[in-house]
Amino acid sequence: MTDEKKKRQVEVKHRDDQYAERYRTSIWLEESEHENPFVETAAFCHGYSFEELVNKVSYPQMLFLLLKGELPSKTQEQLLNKALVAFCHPGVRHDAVRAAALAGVGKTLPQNILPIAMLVFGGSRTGSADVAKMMRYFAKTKRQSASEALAINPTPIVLGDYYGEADVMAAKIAQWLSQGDDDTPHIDWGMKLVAEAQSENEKIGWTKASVAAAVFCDLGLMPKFGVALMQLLAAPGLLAQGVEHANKPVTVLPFVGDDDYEIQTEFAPS
Amino acid sequence: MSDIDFLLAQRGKLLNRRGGWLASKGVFSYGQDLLRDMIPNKTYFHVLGLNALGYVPEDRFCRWLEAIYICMSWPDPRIWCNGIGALAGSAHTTVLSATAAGMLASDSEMYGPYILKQGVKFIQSTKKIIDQGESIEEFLKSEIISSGGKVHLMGFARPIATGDERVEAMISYIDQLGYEVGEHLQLALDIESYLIENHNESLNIGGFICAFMSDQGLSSEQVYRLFPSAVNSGVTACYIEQVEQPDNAYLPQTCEDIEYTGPTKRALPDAVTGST
Repeated sequence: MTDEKKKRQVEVKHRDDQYAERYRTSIWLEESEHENPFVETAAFCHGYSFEELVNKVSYPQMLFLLLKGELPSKTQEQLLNKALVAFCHPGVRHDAVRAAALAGVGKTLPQNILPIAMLVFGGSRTGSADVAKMMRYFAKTKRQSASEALAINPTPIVLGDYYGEADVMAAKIAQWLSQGDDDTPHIDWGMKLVAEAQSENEKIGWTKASVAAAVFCDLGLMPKFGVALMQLLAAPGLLAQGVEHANKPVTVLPFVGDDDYEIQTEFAPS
Repeated sequence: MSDIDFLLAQRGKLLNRRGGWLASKGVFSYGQDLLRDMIPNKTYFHVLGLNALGYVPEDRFCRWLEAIYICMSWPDPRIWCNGIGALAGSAHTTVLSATAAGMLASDSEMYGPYILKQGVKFIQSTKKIIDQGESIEEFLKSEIISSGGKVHLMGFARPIATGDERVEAMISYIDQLGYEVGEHLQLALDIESYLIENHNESLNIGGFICAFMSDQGLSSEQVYRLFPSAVNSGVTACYIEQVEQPDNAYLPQTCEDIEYTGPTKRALPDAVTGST
Protein backbone atom coordinates (compact mmCIF):
# COMPACT_ATOMS: atom_id res chain seq x y z
CA MET A 1 0.00 0.00 0.00
CA THR A 2 2.71 2.44 0.99
CA ASP A 3 4.65 1.65 -2.19
CA GLU A 4 1.51 2.20 -4.23
CA LYS A 5 0.97 5.53 -2.58
CA LYS A 6 4.49 6.62 -3.41
CA LYS A 7 4.04 5.63 -7.04
CA ARG A 8 1.01 7.84 -7.61
CA GLN A 9 1.94 11.26 -8.88
CA VAL A 10 -1.26 13.04 -9.71
CA GLU A 11 -1.34 16.77 -9.90
CA VAL A 12 -4.68 18.48 -9.46
CA LYS A 13 -5.03 21.28 -12.01
CA HIS A 14 -7.91 23.23 -13.48
CA ARG A 15 -8.59 22.22 -17.06
CA ASP A 16 -8.29 24.78 -19.80
CA ASP A 17 -12.01 24.55 -20.52
CA GLN A 18 -13.43 27.76 -21.90
CA TYR A 19 -16.58 28.62 -19.98
CA ALA A 20 -19.18 31.03 -21.30
CA GLU A 21 -18.82 34.54 -20.00
CA ARG A 22 -22.57 35.11 -19.97
CA TYR A 23 -25.71 33.03 -19.64
CA ARG A 24 -27.09 32.48 -23.11
CA THR A 25 -30.69 31.78 -24.13
CA SER A 26 -32.76 31.83 -27.27
CA ILE A 27 -36.03 31.69 -25.34
CA TRP A 28 -36.47 34.80 -23.28
CA LEU A 29 -35.33 38.38 -23.64
CA GLU A 30 -35.61 40.94 -20.87
CA GLU A 31 -35.02 44.62 -21.42
CA SER A 32 -34.63 47.38 -18.91
CA GLU A 33 -35.45 51.03 -19.39
CA HIS A 34 -35.32 51.47 -15.65
CA GLU A 35 -32.55 53.40 -13.95
CA ASN A 36 -31.84 50.16 -12.10
CA PRO A 37 -30.47 47.73 -14.72
CA PHE A 38 -31.62 44.77 -12.66
CA VAL A 39 -35.31 45.69 -13.10
CA GLU A 40 -36.81 44.51 -16.37
CA THR A 41 -39.48 46.65 -18.00
CA ALA A 42 -40.24 44.51 -21.05
CA ALA A 43 -39.96 40.84 -21.91
CA PHE A 44 -40.14 38.80 -25.11
CA CYS A 45 -40.51 35.07 -25.69
CA HIS A 46 -38.91 33.87 -28.90
CA GLY A 47 -39.36 37.40 -30.24
CA TYR A 48 -43.01 37.88 -29.24
CA SER A 49 -43.95 40.55 -26.75
CA PHE A 50 -44.79 39.01 -23.39
CA GLU A 51 -47.64 41.51 -23.05
CA GLU A 52 -49.15 40.39 -26.35
CA LEU A 53 -48.75 36.74 -25.44
CA VAL A 54 -50.48 37.25 -22.10
CA ASN A 55 -53.40 38.92 -23.81
CA LYS A 56 -53.74 36.89 -26.98
CA VAL A 57 -52.51 33.31 -26.76
CA SER A 58 -53.82 30.24 -24.97
CA TYR A 59 -51.81 28.24 -22.48
CA PRO A 60 -51.20 25.40 -24.97
CA GLN A 61 -49.93 27.93 -27.51
CA MET A 62 -47.58 29.44 -24.94
CA LEU A 63 -46.32 26.06 -23.80
CA PHE A 64 -45.67 24.99 -27.38
CA LEU A 65 -43.85 28.25 -28.10
CA LEU A 66 -41.59 27.75 -25.09
CA LEU A 67 -40.69 24.21 -26.09
CA LYS A 68 -40.49 24.59 -29.87
CA GLY A 69 -39.68 28.22 -30.44
CA GLU A 70 -42.65 28.72 -32.74
CA LEU A 71 -46.38 28.96 -32.19
CA PRO A 72 -48.33 25.77 -32.94
CA SER A 73 -50.62 25.22 -35.89
CA LYS A 74 -54.31 25.02 -35.03
CA THR A 75 -54.13 21.22 -35.16
CA GLN A 76 -51.08 21.11 -32.92
CA GLU A 77 -52.71 23.48 -30.45
CA GLN A 78 -55.81 21.31 -30.30
CA LEU A 79 -53.76 18.17 -29.81
CA LEU A 80 -51.65 19.72 -27.07
CA ASN A 81 -54.77 21.08 -25.41
CA LYS A 82 -56.29 17.60 -25.39
CA ALA A 83 -53.04 16.13 -24.03
CA LEU A 84 -52.99 18.72 -21.24
CA VAL A 85 -56.42 17.50 -20.19
CA ALA A 86 -55.77 13.80 -20.84
CA PHE A 87 -52.68 13.66 -18.64
CA CYS A 88 -53.65 16.22 -15.97
CA HIS A 89 -54.44 13.53 -13.40
CA PRO A 90 -52.52 10.25 -13.14
CA GLY A 91 -55.43 8.53 -11.38
CA VAL A 92 -56.43 8.65 -7.75
CA ARG A 93 -54.62 5.39 -6.87
CA HIS A 94 -51.36 6.37 -8.53
CA ASP A 95 -48.35 6.34 -6.19
CA ALA A 96 -47.67 10.01 -7.00
CA VAL A 97 -51.19 11.05 -6.04
CA ARG A 98 -50.95 9.06 -2.84
CA ALA A 99 -47.61 10.72 -2.12
CA ALA A 100 -49.23 14.13 -2.66
CA ALA A 101 -52.07 13.28 -0.28
CA LEU A 102 -49.65 11.89 2.30
CA ALA A 103 -47.57 15.06 2.14
CA GLY A 104 -50.68 17.23 2.41
CA VAL A 105 -52.10 15.39 5.39
CA GLY A 106 -48.65 15.22 6.95
CA LYS A 107 -48.69 19.03 6.92
CA THR A 108 -45.64 19.13 4.71
CA LEU A 109 -44.92 22.74 3.82
CA PRO A 110 -47.16 23.59 0.88
CA GLN A 111 -44.26 24.55 -1.38
CA ASN A 112 -42.96 20.98 -1.08
CA ILE A 113 -46.14 19.07 -1.87
CA LEU A 114 -46.10 19.39 -5.65
CA PRO A 115 -42.36 18.73 -6.06
CA ILE A 116 -42.69 15.62 -3.87
CA ALA A 117 -45.54 14.27 -5.96
CA MET A 118 -43.84 15.11 -9.24
CA LEU A 119 -40.70 13.31 -8.12
CA VAL A 120 -42.69 10.18 -7.41
CA PHE A 121 -44.38 10.61 -10.77
CA GLY A 122 -40.89 10.55 -12.26
CA GLY A 123 -40.61 6.82 -11.62
CA SER A 124 -40.25 4.29 -14.40
CA ARG A 125 -43.28 2.21 -13.40
CA THR A 126 -46.46 4.06 -14.44
CA GLY A 127 -44.56 7.35 -14.36
CA SER A 128 -42.65 9.57 -16.72
CA ALA A 129 -39.05 8.29 -16.43
CA ASP A 130 -39.03 6.38 -19.70
CA VAL A 131 -40.96 8.83 -21.89
CA ALA A 132 -37.83 10.05 -23.68
CA LYS A 133 -36.75 6.49 -24.45
CA MET A 134 -40.25 5.76 -25.69
CA MET A 135 -40.18 8.83 -27.94
CA ARG A 136 -36.90 7.66 -29.42
CA TYR A 137 -38.41 4.24 -30.02
CA PHE A 138 -41.37 5.72 -31.89
CA ALA A 139 -39.16 8.04 -33.91
CA LYS A 140 -36.79 5.26 -34.89
CA THR A 141 -39.27 2.45 -35.42
CA LYS A 142 -42.30 4.07 -36.98
CA ARG A 143 -40.87 3.58 -40.47
CA GLN A 144 -41.30 -0.16 -40.03
CA SER A 145 -44.58 -2.02 -40.05
CA ALA A 146 -45.89 -3.06 -36.65
CA SER A 147 -45.15 -6.71 -37.39
CA GLU A 148 -41.61 -5.91 -38.52
CA ALA A 149 -41.03 -3.86 -35.39
CA LEU A 150 -42.24 -6.69 -33.15
CA ALA A 151 -40.19 -9.25 -35.03
CA ILE A 152 -37.07 -7.22 -34.27
CA ASN A 153 -38.06 -6.45 -30.69
CA PRO A 154 -41.01 -8.42 -29.28
CA THR A 155 -41.02 -6.45 -26.01
CA PRO A 156 -40.56 -2.80 -26.95
CA ILE A 157 -40.42 -0.23 -24.18
CA VAL A 158 -43.71 1.32 -25.34
CA LEU A 159 -45.72 -1.79 -24.47
CA GLY A 160 -46.49 -2.93 -20.95
CA ASP A 161 -49.05 -4.28 -18.57
CA TYR A 162 -51.04 -2.68 -15.80
CA TYR A 163 -51.85 -4.87 -12.80
CA GLY A 164 -51.10 -7.81 -15.08
CA GLU A 165 -53.56 -6.67 -17.77
CA ALA A 166 -53.58 -4.34 -20.75
CA ASP A 167 -54.18 -0.79 -19.48
CA VAL A 168 -57.73 -0.05 -20.60
CA MET A 169 -57.60 3.62 -19.70
CA ALA A 170 -54.32 4.17 -21.53
CA ALA A 171 -55.85 2.62 -24.64
CA LYS A 172 -58.91 4.87 -24.31
CA ILE A 173 -56.72 7.96 -23.97
CA ALA A 174 -54.85 6.97 -27.12
CA GLN A 175 -58.16 6.60 -28.91
CA TRP A 176 -59.38 9.98 -27.64
CA LEU A 177 -56.19 11.70 -28.77
CA SER A 178 -56.02 10.06 -32.19
CA GLN A 179 -56.86 12.47 -34.97
CA GLY A 180 -55.99 10.26 -37.91
CA ASP A 181 -52.76 9.32 -39.60
CA ASP A 182 -52.06 12.81 -40.94
CA ASP A 183 -52.12 14.61 -37.62
CA THR A 184 -51.27 11.91 -35.10
CA PRO A 185 -49.12 9.44 -37.02
CA HIS A 186 -47.24 8.17 -33.98
CA ILE A 187 -50.39 7.44 -31.98
CA ASP A 188 -51.94 5.72 -34.95
CA TRP A 189 -48.82 3.67 -35.61
CA GLY A 190 -48.79 2.80 -31.91
CA MET A 191 -52.33 1.53 -32.19
CA LYS A 192 -51.26 -0.82 -34.96
CA LEU A 193 -48.33 -1.97 -32.83
CA VAL A 194 -50.63 -2.62 -29.86
CA ALA A 195 -53.11 -4.52 -32.01
CA GLU A 196 -50.34 -6.65 -33.47
CA ALA A 197 -48.84 -7.35 -30.05
CA GLN A 198 -52.22 -8.18 -28.53
CA SER A 199 -52.82 -10.80 -31.21
CA GLU A 200 -50.09 -12.74 -29.38
CA ASN A 201 -50.64 -11.51 -25.82
CA GLU A 202 -53.82 -9.67 -24.90
CA LYS A 203 -52.45 -8.69 -21.50
CA ILE A 204 -50.04 -6.08 -22.83
CA GLY A 205 -50.75 -2.81 -24.56
CA TRP A 206 -50.34 0.93 -24.29
CA THR A 207 -49.02 2.43 -21.10
CA LYS A 208 -50.04 5.96 -20.18
CA ALA A 209 -46.41 7.01 -20.59
CA SER A 210 -46.21 5.50 -24.05
CA VAL A 211 -49.37 7.33 -25.11
CA ALA A 212 -47.83 10.56 -23.85
CA ALA A 213 -44.63 9.75 -25.75
CA ALA A 214 -46.56 9.18 -28.97
CA VAL A 215 -48.42 12.47 -28.55
CA PHE A 216 -45.22 14.35 -27.88
CA CYS A 217 -43.76 12.85 -31.06
CA ASP A 218 -46.85 13.93 -32.98
CA LEU A 219 -46.33 17.45 -31.64
CA GLY A 220 -42.80 17.38 -33.01
CA LEU A 221 -41.22 17.75 -29.58
CA MET A 222 -37.71 16.55 -28.90
CA PRO A 223 -37.32 13.51 -26.62
CA LYS A 224 -35.29 15.50 -24.10
CA PHE A 225 -38.48 17.33 -23.12
CA GLY A 226 -40.55 14.17 -22.70
CA VAL A 227 -39.89 13.09 -19.12
CA ALA A 228 -40.36 16.46 -17.50
CA LEU A 229 -43.22 17.46 -19.78
CA MET A 230 -45.27 14.49 -18.67
CA GLN A 231 -44.53 15.48 -15.07
CA LEU A 232 -45.71 18.99 -15.86
CA LEU A 233 -48.89 17.71 -17.44
CA ALA A 234 -49.68 15.67 -14.31
CA ALA A 235 -49.05 18.59 -11.98
CA PRO A 236 -52.63 19.92 -11.74
CA GLY A 237 -54.02 16.59 -10.54
CA LEU A 238 -51.15 16.10 -8.12
CA LEU A 239 -51.63 19.60 -6.77
CA ALA A 240 -55.38 19.19 -6.32
CA GLN A 241 -55.05 15.82 -4.59
CA GLY A 242 -52.19 16.98 -2.42
CA VAL A 243 -54.04 19.99 -1.14
CA GLU A 244 -57.46 18.35 -0.84
CA HIS A 245 -56.84 17.09 2.68
CA ALA A 246 -54.13 19.51 3.75
CA ASN A 247 -54.77 21.00 7.18
CA LYS A 248 -57.08 18.13 8.11
CA PRO A 249 -56.25 15.73 10.96
CA VAL A 250 -53.97 12.84 10.07
CA THR A 251 -56.89 10.55 10.85
CA VAL A 252 -58.44 11.56 7.53
CA LEU A 253 -56.23 8.92 5.88
CA PRO A 254 -56.19 5.21 6.74
CA PHE A 255 -53.40 4.08 9.05
CA VAL A 256 -52.10 0.52 9.17
CA GLY A 257 -52.36 -0.68 12.76
CA ASP A 258 -49.85 -3.01 14.42
CA ASP A 259 -52.18 -5.96 13.89
CA ASP A 260 -51.82 -5.49 10.14
CA TYR A 261 -48.11 -4.71 10.26
CA GLU A 262 -46.01 -7.82 10.06
CA ILE A 263 -42.23 -8.10 10.22
CA GLN A 264 -40.76 -11.14 8.49
CA THR A 265 -40.05 -13.99 10.87
CA GLU A 266 -36.38 -13.78 9.94
CA PHE A 267 -36.23 -10.17 11.15
CA ALA A 268 -38.90 -10.24 13.85
CA PRO A 269 -38.02 -9.17 17.38
CA SER A 270 -37.78 -12.05 19.79
CA MET B 1 -51.75 -17.53 -5.25
CA SER B 2 -52.41 -15.52 -8.41
CA ASP B 3 -51.03 -12.01 -8.85
CA ILE B 4 -54.47 -10.57 -8.21
CA ASP B 5 -54.97 -12.67 -5.07
CA PHE B 6 -51.55 -11.53 -3.87
CA LEU B 7 -52.50 -7.88 -4.35
CA LEU B 8 -55.88 -8.36 -2.71
CA ALA B 9 -54.16 -9.89 0.31
CA GLN B 10 -51.99 -6.77 0.67
CA ARG B 11 -54.90 -4.30 0.85
CA GLY B 12 -54.76 -2.39 4.13
CA LYS B 13 -51.86 -4.46 5.40
CA LEU B 14 -48.08 -4.19 5.40
CA LEU B 15 -46.81 -7.74 5.40
CA ASN B 16 -43.36 -9.34 5.35
CA ARG B 17 -41.58 -6.13 6.23
CA ARG B 18 -37.88 -6.02 6.97
CA GLY B 19 -38.31 -3.65 9.85
CA GLY B 20 -40.49 -1.05 11.48
CA TRP B 21 -41.81 0.34 14.71
CA LEU B 22 -43.83 -1.93 16.90
CA ALA B 23 -45.36 0.04 19.75
CA SER B 24 -44.14 -1.16 23.16
CA LYS B 25 -41.65 -3.52 21.50
CA GLY B 26 -39.22 -1.20 19.77
CA VAL B 27 -37.85 -0.14 16.38
CA PHE B 28 -36.28 -2.81 14.24
CA SER B 29 -34.35 -3.06 10.99
CA TYR B 30 -33.28 -6.40 9.58
CA GLY B 31 -33.57 -7.88 13.04
CA GLN B 32 -31.48 -5.20 14.72
CA ASP B 33 -33.01 -3.35 17.65
CA LEU B 34 -32.17 0.25 16.81
CA LEU B 35 -32.82 1.67 20.24
CA ARG B 36 -31.32 -1.04 22.42
CA ASP B 37 -28.51 -2.40 20.24
CA MET B 38 -27.52 0.24 17.73
CA ILE B 39 -27.66 3.46 19.76
CA PRO B 40 -25.25 2.38 22.48
CA ASN B 41 -22.91 0.40 20.25
CA LYS B 42 -22.92 1.76 16.71
CA THR B 43 -22.78 4.97 14.69
CA TYR B 44 -25.17 6.57 12.23
CA PHE B 45 -23.11 5.12 9.39
CA HIS B 46 -23.66 1.60 10.74
CA VAL B 47 -27.40 2.27 10.53
CA LEU B 48 -27.03 3.79 7.08
CA GLY B 49 -25.21 0.65 5.98
CA LEU B 50 -27.77 -1.58 7.67
CA ASN B 51 -30.74 0.08 5.98
CA ALA B 52 -29.04 0.13 2.57
CA LEU B 53 -27.45 -3.33 2.61
CA GLY B 54 -29.53 -5.35 5.04
CA TYR B 55 -26.69 -6.11 7.43
CA VAL B 56 -24.48 -4.17 9.83
CA PRO B 57 -21.17 -3.56 8.06
CA GLU B 58 -17.92 -3.93 9.96
CA ASP B 59 -16.69 -0.89 11.89
CA ARG B 60 -13.86 0.03 9.54
CA PHE B 61 -16.20 -0.07 6.54
CA CYS B 62 -18.46 2.43 8.28
CA ARG B 63 -15.50 4.68 9.03
CA TRP B 64 -14.55 4.42 5.36
CA LEU B 65 -18.12 5.27 4.36
CA GLU B 66 -18.13 8.32 6.61
CA ALA B 67 -14.86 9.48 5.08
CA ILE B 68 -16.33 9.18 1.59
CA TYR B 69 -19.30 11.27 2.67
CA ILE B 70 -16.80 13.94 3.68
CA CYS B 71 -15.18 13.63 0.23
CA MET B 72 -18.52 14.04 -1.54
CA SER B 73 -19.75 17.08 0.33
CA TRP B 74 -17.86 20.32 -0.09
CA PRO B 75 -19.04 23.83 0.85
CA ASP B 76 -18.30 25.29 -2.60
CA PRO B 77 -21.24 26.64 -4.61
CA ARG B 78 -19.38 26.24 -7.90
CA ILE B 79 -20.21 22.55 -7.72
CA TRP B 80 -23.56 22.09 -9.42
CA CYS B 81 -25.56 20.61 -6.55
CA ASN B 82 -24.11 23.15 -4.13
CA GLY B 83 -24.96 25.96 -6.53
CA ILE B 84 -28.56 24.88 -6.24
CA GLY B 85 -28.24 25.10 -2.48
CA ALA B 86 -26.90 28.64 -2.86
CA LEU B 87 -29.69 29.64 -5.24
CA ALA B 88 -32.21 28.19 -2.80
CA GLY B 89 -30.58 30.30 -0.11
CA SER B 90 -30.83 33.32 -2.36
CA ALA B 91 -34.52 32.53 -2.88
CA HIS B 92 -34.99 32.02 0.87
CA THR B 93 -36.40 28.52 0.72
CA THR B 94 -36.23 26.39 3.84
CA VAL B 95 -32.94 24.66 4.52
CA LEU B 96 -34.59 21.32 3.91
CA SER B 97 -35.96 22.32 0.50
CA ALA B 98 -32.54 23.62 -0.42
CA THR B 99 -30.73 20.51 0.71
CA ALA B 100 -33.23 18.16 -0.90
CA ALA B 101 -33.00 20.11 -4.16
CA GLY B 102 -29.21 19.91 -4.11
CA MET B 103 -29.29 16.21 -3.36
CA LEU B 104 -31.65 15.67 -6.28
CA ALA B 105 -29.28 17.58 -8.51
CA SER B 106 -26.54 15.12 -7.61
CA ASP B 107 -28.65 12.33 -9.13
CA SER B 108 -26.73 13.15 -12.27
CA GLU B 109 -25.23 11.39 -15.26
CA MET B 110 -22.11 13.56 -14.90
CA TYR B 111 -21.18 13.46 -11.22
CA GLY B 112 -22.45 12.33 -7.83
CA PRO B 113 -23.97 9.07 -6.63
CA TYR B 114 -25.88 8.10 -9.78
CA ILE B 115 -22.76 7.54 -11.85
CA LEU B 116 -21.45 5.07 -9.28
CA LYS B 117 -23.82 2.51 -10.75
CA GLN B 118 -22.08 2.70 -14.11
CA GLY B 119 -18.69 2.93 -12.42
CA VAL B 120 -19.15 -0.36 -10.57
CA LYS B 121 -20.33 -2.06 -13.74
CA PHE B 122 -17.35 -0.68 -15.62
CA ILE B 123 -14.65 -1.83 -13.20
CA GLN B 124 -16.26 -5.23 -12.66
CA SER B 125 -16.77 -5.91 -16.36
CA THR B 126 -13.28 -4.62 -17.19
CA LYS B 127 -11.78 -6.95 -14.61
CA LYS B 128 -13.49 -9.89 -16.28
CA ILE B 129 -12.06 -8.84 -19.65
CA ILE B 130 -8.56 -8.43 -18.24
CA ASP B 131 -8.84 -11.73 -16.37
CA GLN B 132 -9.62 -13.39 -19.69
CA GLY B 133 -6.27 -12.29 -21.02
CA GLU B 134 -6.68 -8.92 -22.74
CA SER B 135 -3.99 -6.45 -21.73
CA ILE B 136 -4.98 -3.25 -19.98
CA GLU B 137 -3.25 -1.25 -22.69
CA GLU B 138 -5.08 -3.00 -25.52
CA PHE B 139 -8.38 -2.64 -23.73
CA LEU B 140 -7.92 1.05 -22.99
CA LYS B 141 -6.72 1.89 -26.48
CA SER B 142 -9.80 0.30 -27.93
CA GLU B 143 -12.14 2.04 -25.45
CA ILE B 144 -10.56 5.42 -26.06
CA ILE B 145 -10.62 5.03 -29.84
CA SER B 146 -14.32 4.18 -29.67
CA SER B 147 -14.86 7.41 -27.69
CA GLY B 148 -13.25 9.52 -30.39
CA GLY B 149 -9.88 9.66 -28.65
CA LYS B 150 -11.30 11.02 -25.38
CA VAL B 151 -11.13 9.36 -21.99
CA HIS B 152 -14.78 8.55 -21.32
CA LEU B 153 -14.22 5.79 -18.81
CA MET B 154 -16.59 5.76 -15.85
CA GLY B 155 -14.56 6.53 -12.76
CA PHE B 156 -11.66 8.19 -14.54
CA ALA B 157 -11.08 11.87 -15.36
CA ARG B 158 -13.43 14.47 -13.88
CA PRO B 159 -15.05 17.77 -14.88
CA ILE B 160 -13.34 21.11 -14.21
CA ALA B 161 -9.97 19.71 -13.17
CA THR B 162 -7.53 16.93 -13.89
CA GLY B 163 -6.48 14.84 -10.91
CA ASP B 164 -8.52 14.23 -7.79
CA GLU B 165 -6.99 14.98 -4.42
CA ARG B 166 -9.63 12.89 -2.65
CA VAL B 167 -8.21 9.67 -4.10
CA GLU B 168 -4.85 10.30 -2.49
CA ALA B 169 -6.49 11.02 0.86
CA MET B 170 -8.64 7.90 0.68
CA ILE B 171 -5.78 5.62 -0.38
CA SER B 172 -3.95 6.74 2.73
CA TYR B 173 -7.06 6.24 4.82
CA ILE B 174 -7.78 2.68 3.71
CA ASP B 175 -4.20 1.87 4.59
CA GLN B 176 -4.82 3.33 8.03
CA LEU B 177 -8.01 1.27 8.34
CA GLY B 178 -6.06 -1.89 7.58
CA TYR B 179 -7.49 -2.61 4.15
CA GLU B 180 -5.31 -4.23 1.52
CA VAL B 181 -5.54 -3.04 -2.08
CA GLY B 182 -7.99 -5.47 -3.62
CA GLU B 183 -8.05 -6.74 -7.19
CA HIS B 184 -10.52 -4.13 -8.46
CA LEU B 185 -8.70 -1.23 -6.83
CA GLN B 186 -5.39 -2.52 -8.17
CA LEU B 187 -6.91 -2.68 -11.64
CA ALA B 188 -8.18 0.88 -11.23
CA LEU B 189 -4.70 2.02 -10.25
CA ASP B 190 -3.18 0.16 -13.19
CA ILE B 191 -5.66 1.82 -15.55
CA GLU B 192 -4.78 5.13 -13.94
CA SER B 193 -1.06 4.58 -14.58
CA TYR B 194 -1.74 4.15 -18.28
CA LEU B 195 -4.02 7.18 -18.38
CA ILE B 196 -1.56 9.41 -16.53
CA GLU B 197 1.22 8.45 -18.89
CA ASN B 198 -0.77 8.73 -22.09
CA HIS B 199 -3.68 11.09 -21.51
CA ASN B 200 -2.94 13.15 -18.39
CA GLU B 201 -6.08 11.75 -16.77
CA SER B 202 -6.43 9.81 -13.54
CA LEU B 203 -8.72 7.92 -11.19
CA ASN B 204 -11.48 10.07 -9.69
CA ILE B 205 -13.18 9.61 -6.35
CA GLY B 206 -16.13 7.88 -7.97
CA GLY B 207 -13.85 5.37 -9.63
CA PHE B 208 -12.06 4.82 -6.34
CA ILE B 209 -15.36 4.18 -4.56
CA CYS B 210 -16.50 1.76 -7.25
CA ALA B 211 -13.26 -0.22 -7.24
CA PHE B 212 -13.05 -0.36 -3.45
CA MET B 213 -16.71 -1.33 -3.10
CA SER B 214 -16.27 -4.01 -5.76
CA ASP B 215 -13.47 -5.44 -3.66
CA GLN B 216 -15.94 -5.58 -0.77
CA GLY B 217 -18.25 -7.69 -2.93
CA LEU B 218 -20.95 -5.07 -3.45
CA SER B 219 -23.11 -4.71 -6.56
CA SER B 220 -23.73 -1.52 -8.49
CA GLU B 221 -27.20 -1.10 -6.99
CA GLN B 222 -25.92 -1.67 -3.45
CA VAL B 223 -23.26 0.98 -3.96
CA TYR B 224 -25.80 3.50 -5.28
CA ARG B 225 -28.07 2.82 -2.31
CA LEU B 226 -25.30 3.76 0.12
CA PHE B 227 -24.98 7.31 -1.20
CA PRO B 228 -28.36 9.00 -1.79
CA SER B 229 -27.55 11.83 0.61
CA ALA B 230 -23.80 12.01 0.05
CA VAL B 231 -23.72 15.68 -0.98
CA ASN B 232 -26.19 16.98 1.57
CA SER B 233 -23.86 18.67 4.01
CA GLY B 234 -22.08 20.75 1.37
CA VAL B 235 -25.41 21.86 -0.07
CA THR B 236 -26.60 22.90 3.37
CA ALA B 237 -23.40 24.87 3.92
CA CYS B 238 -23.88 26.74 0.64
CA TYR B 239 -27.51 27.43 1.45
CA ILE B 240 -26.68 28.82 4.89
CA GLU B 241 -23.93 31.03 3.58
CA GLN B 242 -26.21 32.51 0.93
CA VAL B 243 -29.40 32.88 2.95
CA GLU B 244 -27.48 35.10 5.33
CA GLN B 245 -26.25 37.39 2.55
CA PRO B 246 -28.09 40.51 1.31
CA ASP B 247 -30.98 39.84 -1.09
CA ASN B 248 -30.13 39.00 -4.70
CA ALA B 249 -26.42 38.92 -3.93
CA TYR B 250 -25.70 35.49 -5.45
CA LEU B 251 -24.02 36.20 -8.81
CA PRO B 252 -26.47 39.01 -9.62
CA GLN B 253 -27.35 39.57 -13.29
CA THR B 254 -28.56 42.74 -14.95
CA CYS B 255 -30.87 42.36 -17.94
CA GLU B 256 -27.93 42.99 -20.24
CA ASP B 257 -25.87 40.27 -18.64
CA ILE B 258 -28.01 37.69 -20.43
CA GLU B 259 -27.01 36.99 -24.01
CA TYR B 260 -30.21 36.58 -26.00
CA THR B 261 -29.75 34.49 -29.14
CA GLY B 262 -33.36 33.96 -30.22
CA PRO B 263 -35.46 35.52 -32.97
CA THR B 264 -35.64 39.27 -33.28
CA LYS B 265 -38.78 40.97 -32.07
CA ARG B 266 -41.79 40.04 -34.15
CA ALA B 267 -45.56 40.52 -34.20
CA LEU B 268 -47.95 37.70 -33.45
CA PRO B 269 -49.34 36.07 -36.62
CA ASP B 270 -52.76 37.21 -37.82
CA ALA B 271 -54.19 33.79 -37.06
CA VAL B 272 -53.44 34.38 -33.40
CA THR B 273 -54.47 38.02 -33.17
CA GLY B 274 -57.66 37.40 -35.16
CA SER B 275 -56.72 39.99 -37.82
CA THR B 276 -57.75 39.26 -41.41
